[in-house]
Amino acid sequence: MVDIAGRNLLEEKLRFIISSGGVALAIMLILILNGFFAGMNRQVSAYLDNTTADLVVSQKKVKNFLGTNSRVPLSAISKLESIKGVEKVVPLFSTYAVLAPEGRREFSLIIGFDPLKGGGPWRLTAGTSDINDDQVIVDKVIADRHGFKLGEKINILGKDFTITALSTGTSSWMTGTFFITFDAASRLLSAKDTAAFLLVTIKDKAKINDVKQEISGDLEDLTVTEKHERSANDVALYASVFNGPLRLMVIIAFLIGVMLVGATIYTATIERAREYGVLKAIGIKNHSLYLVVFEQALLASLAGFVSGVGLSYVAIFIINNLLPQFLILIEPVYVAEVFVVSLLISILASYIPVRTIAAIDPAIAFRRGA
Amino acid sequence: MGIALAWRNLSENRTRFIISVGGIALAILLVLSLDGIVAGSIRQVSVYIDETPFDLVVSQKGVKNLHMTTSFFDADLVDKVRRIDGVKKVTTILYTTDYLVSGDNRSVAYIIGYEQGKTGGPWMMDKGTEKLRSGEIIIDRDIAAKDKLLLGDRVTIFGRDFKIAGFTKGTVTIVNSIAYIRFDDFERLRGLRSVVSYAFVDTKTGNSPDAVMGKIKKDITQVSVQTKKEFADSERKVVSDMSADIMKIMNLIGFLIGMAALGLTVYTATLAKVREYGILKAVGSRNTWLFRVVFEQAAISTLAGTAIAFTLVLLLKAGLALSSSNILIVVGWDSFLRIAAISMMIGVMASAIPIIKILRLDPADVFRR
Repeated sequence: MVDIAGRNLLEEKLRFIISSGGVALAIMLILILNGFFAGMNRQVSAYLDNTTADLVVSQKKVKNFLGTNSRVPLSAISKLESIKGVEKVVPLFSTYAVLAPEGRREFSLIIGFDPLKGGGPWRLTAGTSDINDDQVIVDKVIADRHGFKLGEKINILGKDFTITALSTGTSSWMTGTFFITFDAASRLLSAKDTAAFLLVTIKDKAKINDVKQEISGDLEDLTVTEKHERSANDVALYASVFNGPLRLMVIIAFLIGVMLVGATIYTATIERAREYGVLKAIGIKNHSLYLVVFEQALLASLAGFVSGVGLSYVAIFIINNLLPQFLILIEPVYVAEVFVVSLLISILASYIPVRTIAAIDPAIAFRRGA
Repeated sequence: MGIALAWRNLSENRTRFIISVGGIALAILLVLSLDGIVAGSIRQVSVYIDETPFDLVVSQKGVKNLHMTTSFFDADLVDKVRRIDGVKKVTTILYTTDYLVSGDNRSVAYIIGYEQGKTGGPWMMDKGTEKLRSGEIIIDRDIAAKDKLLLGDRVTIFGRDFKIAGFTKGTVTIVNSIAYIRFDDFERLRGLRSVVSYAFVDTKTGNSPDAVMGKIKKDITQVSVQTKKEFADSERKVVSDMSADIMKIMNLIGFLIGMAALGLTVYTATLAKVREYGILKAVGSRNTWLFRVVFEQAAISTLAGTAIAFTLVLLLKAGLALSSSNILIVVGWDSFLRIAAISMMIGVMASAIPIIKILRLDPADVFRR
């Protein structure tokens, strides 16, 4: 049966290419739009994911890292350092700001870190992270976009900083990260004697809960969370608020993509009604007819699916080269889900037109099929 | 004659017609809805600036908008602005972006510290009062409804509890809502003294805002000053550059794939009727006339698909509004006509490809083929 189905499909290659192409377009649409969405969520937590700290201490009740106005007194550092099991405490500022290099607005995450203690960029392509209060480390994607060179000055919140290093992996679709010193950030944000967060590294990772509990007990005015909890909070918050329209776009793409798969296979089946009529007229049993039709639908759908996945990777490669700030993730689980749904839709879309042919008498099948 | 034949030929096999129109409608719906979501997202974001009455805004040097930025400058500079010739009134706000927390619910909000009864406060109250006492807050009614909050309930911002004294309406955008507290509460909780975030300037009648802006820029170089329109444009541009970058590229990909799907659908529909066109050719129809029939069929199908897609996108828009979603879909006529025109062009072009082969044939050969 697969042989008949395959031969029939390949007998008219143009028609086969059209139906597979239609499915491929729909699959591309679904995978790429979802890929943007998945990549975006991954990028949200990039800073915390790459710090070596275990715990994040913030102002009471502040449970996010991004976009908050947490203020923690610097006096808390010595208290934290005195807690058994704490290895290192790093004060940090993080704030969003819109910079306007050369008139082009750049929504930016500004990290104020202590070069001696850490909290700075995790990967550099040029320069050093040992910067002074007049220097800045700029993400390479942002630097390339604006043509920034080492030694150039850029204005951050009214103050000029000299670019002394370039970081990589620190930009996202939404922001590029600018690293300045803790003291420079403190002055820019009018935040004397405070930090936004304290990043705590502990000696024995197995005792993380004990240390966390002790910090919560000793510093009641502050909130302590594990790093991954705060990352998850950031992703959840952005997913629930910021991503609303993006999620809707992904849903629309999925629904329309699936319907396009259905419409393509339905049309392809209708186009072969004459061939199915001939099969019926020469006495093929209904279950065999259905088998041939389903096999053809599945073959066309499968070819379209494989092409769609392949074309998605090609498109992603091109987009990544043109727009490196976007991370587009093709998630295997999602691909599997789309695969199952598209096959089911293909079977349904081919069943609807062929049941009419299956219901007619073989003697008049020629007439109907023609 | 051409239109009548094109329509008869299309309606002769209704299922096939419905399927091709449906395919076209799906492709155009994809393009229209994605485009509408992007346009709506950008439209919403400057609501605070659009609704607050002022001519000029003064901010920290280099700060040109509100969204997710920080602006603080010396309050002494506000007095200097007041003394500029042509300035009628100056009011100030403190501003930041923070999370509005109630239990496990969190949402991003612009927090505005405003002076009671002055410019910068809520412009449309739904319930409660805008005259706040210390420790009180005004939030949007949609956020209240989502988090099941009533007047008198408590929410947390800046890590401190505030009692809800009023609800505003119309302040929820795709990225945040707006919450208002007293100016002095903001100062105290953020540890700020003698600084403001933004100063809203009203100019005297007969003084052009641009001229007054020029004077402020000349005399007070430590701040940035913009007109209301520049400020609103800048705000929309920021969102457009940051979140809409990803939306725009998703929209572009949707557009390209949608148009390809539309072309493929029309191509397939035309290909399916190639026999009928062959018969017309065989009975002596001229090529120009045949082309006309094919193009008219493509145009009818595309037009019908466009109309269905437009109706569906309006239904989607209405559905979102009814569901209290803060996602706004805006389908402007310019955008609709642009998409409709491109769709029509692609539809007609796609229909030409399969028919060219037929037109090259000799009428006597058509039946054989």
